[in-house]
Amino acid sequence: MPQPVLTASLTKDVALCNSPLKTKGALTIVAENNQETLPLDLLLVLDVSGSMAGDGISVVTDSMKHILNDLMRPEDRIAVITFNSSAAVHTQWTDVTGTVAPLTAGGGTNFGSAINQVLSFLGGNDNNGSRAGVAFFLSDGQGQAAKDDNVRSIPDFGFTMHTIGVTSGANPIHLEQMAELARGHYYHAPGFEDVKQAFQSVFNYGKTIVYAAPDLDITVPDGVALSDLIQTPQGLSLSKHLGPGTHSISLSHMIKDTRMEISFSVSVDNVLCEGQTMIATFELDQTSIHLSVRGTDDQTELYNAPMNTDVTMIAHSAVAATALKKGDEAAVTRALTKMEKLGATNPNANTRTTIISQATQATTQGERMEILGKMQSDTSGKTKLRDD
Amino acid sequence: MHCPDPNCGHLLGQADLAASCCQGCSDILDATQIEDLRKQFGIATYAPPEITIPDKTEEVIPLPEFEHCPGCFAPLMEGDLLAWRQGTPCPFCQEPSPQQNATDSTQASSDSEVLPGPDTLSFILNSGPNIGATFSLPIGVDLGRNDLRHVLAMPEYESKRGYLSGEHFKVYVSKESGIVSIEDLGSKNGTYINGVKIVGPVPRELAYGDVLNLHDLSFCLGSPSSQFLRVTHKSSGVVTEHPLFDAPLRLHLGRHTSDGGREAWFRMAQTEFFGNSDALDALDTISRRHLFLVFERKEDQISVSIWNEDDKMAFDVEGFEDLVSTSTSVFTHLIDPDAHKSMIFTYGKNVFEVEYVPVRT
Repeated sequence: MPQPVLTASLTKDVALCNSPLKTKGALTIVAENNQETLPLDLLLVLDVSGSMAGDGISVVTDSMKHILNDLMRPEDRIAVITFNSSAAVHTQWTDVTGTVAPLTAGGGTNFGSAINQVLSFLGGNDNNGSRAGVAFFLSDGQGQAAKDDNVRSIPDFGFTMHTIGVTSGANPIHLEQMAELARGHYYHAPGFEDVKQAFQSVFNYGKTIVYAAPDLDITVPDGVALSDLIQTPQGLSLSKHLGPGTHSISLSHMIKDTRMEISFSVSVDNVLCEGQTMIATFELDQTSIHLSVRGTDDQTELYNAPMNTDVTMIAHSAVAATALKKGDEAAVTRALTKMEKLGATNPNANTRTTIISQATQATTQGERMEILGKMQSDTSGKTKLRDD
Repeated sequence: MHCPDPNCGHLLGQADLAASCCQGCSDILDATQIEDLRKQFGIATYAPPEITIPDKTEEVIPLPEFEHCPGCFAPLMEGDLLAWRQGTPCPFCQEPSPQQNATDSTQASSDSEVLPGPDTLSFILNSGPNIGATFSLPIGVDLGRNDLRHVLAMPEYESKRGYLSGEHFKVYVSKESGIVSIEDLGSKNGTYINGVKIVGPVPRELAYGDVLNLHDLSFCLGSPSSQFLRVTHKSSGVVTEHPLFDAPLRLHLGRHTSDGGREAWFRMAQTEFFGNSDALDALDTISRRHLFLVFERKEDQISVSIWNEDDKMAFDVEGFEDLVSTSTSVFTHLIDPDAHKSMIFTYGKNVFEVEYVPVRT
């Protein structure tokens, strides 16, 4: 099994000792070079309520056929769950040789029962990391909500769930939050004609997965707390608060030739004057790394200690992406201003600033969420928009 | 200054500056905030330690004088070089010294008398207090300031010697024609024949009466032992020697050569008078085309033809007073070498002595 490379750093490597400390940290994970992509299990979760009748159903049917006939590789599989007021398995796992039966529309919209059906379907399906699982949740409306904890447990089965909001009837904020809980991204389809493109994007993303929703174990010592763990550049909230103890966090899939970045705030009750003060231990797939800070009472050394510009960029972009999701424009502007200043010493901050600014200028919330979802960082930290 | 996040508003202090993070909300401070805090607390802007580049104004230490051993190309210096020049083989590869061979061949020739002919050539120094001195130099050997030390021994020459390179020039004599040629050995301050710089590995001819310059030191070829004329420009002391062969010998005691260049004697006198304006003015009274002398051997006697191309500026010639009035006419006379060992030609302050030397003593 190839090992991922973990790097963890703080804003500064030294801190005032015999004092409490609040600072930021960043963990980056890069898959080993030449890592093979995994076979894909694509689970379609489709809204077949009354509003989807007609154009909606025919476009979705066409899109499924396109994936099955044109895109799927021999090792890939597809399955379909449909939902309206209730949910059912429409097609069991099938490969390129199989077929998908036609869909019919009618009834209400119940997200909750759809998610329950997904969990019970995936319950009998343990890939043990050898296959990449991607669920794709499509809806054109606002339905009875699913429980957050249920959505959050989807990654436990090696699956991430992406959501697609079709037409203006969909609520992008709600669907984006579901995607975030399941470590996926939000896709935006303003009209039924855009559904085919969204399906293709999700499939192309699925083909580039090298690590299927790995678990990250974080051990925090006494006197230390981590908070606001946010995966950047998408701004995916992983955890609000981690106190002392060991925690396991599901990450999203790792994509070939990309760097996964996690920004977090650090709070230390007291920095020791002697040696290193332990902040946390990160462990992923039997690779682990310790993060610590060195204490000193030399003021001049502290003022002049260099700042880690990569940590700064990841922290600012986490703030910007989170604020963008909340619609807090003042906070986005503050974060972007800081990133612009950072661009003088870290050129990667410039490309990221440009892309986030582009997202702020999008006309609809759906577009904004989609741009955030498509942001990714290459192994050197340079940001680009995934072009599926 | 307060944290700009409205949800935080923490008053920023030295602890925030030390961590570069707001200690209220842990947000990282930007460059402007850090600079403002530094000003607020009177902490100088961080400047990396200055690196001073050492100012190397010392003069470059010159390479000591050296010669490359032709066997292993090792540069021979100081003691090794002295030993090598005195005939000791190369201490690194045991290549025999050419001086050793030269000594051997000299000994061989003197022992067996198989190889007659000079291995040295006579030169006249035409600069400085020792002007007119005759000395000899070895043929086919790299020559430099050390080889001229004996003729330039007077302290007045000390600065001039510094312009000569350790290996400055080399003298060749053609076995067939006896023509003398000079090669410059890449000297720093140059080698010139009649004012033309010679460069590269090609030897250039040096005729009798031509001026050879090593930087600003002037030299002429001394005549071999046969009959010759020695011409001395009295005021400067410049001496040229001209062997008398079977062909007629023509001398021009004017300023310019037939192709418009400066005559060698004039060039040497000008160099010698450098900085002395009175002497230079007197020199300039000589016409471009002035007194011509043609000497020709006629059995035991020598005929001399004399003519003056400038009717206003005639020479006085001792014993040939008529020449003054018969300016442009050709005057031919058979002279008895015994009676006319020395002829004096005078124009103003310019006095030439033309001396007939039957055999160099």
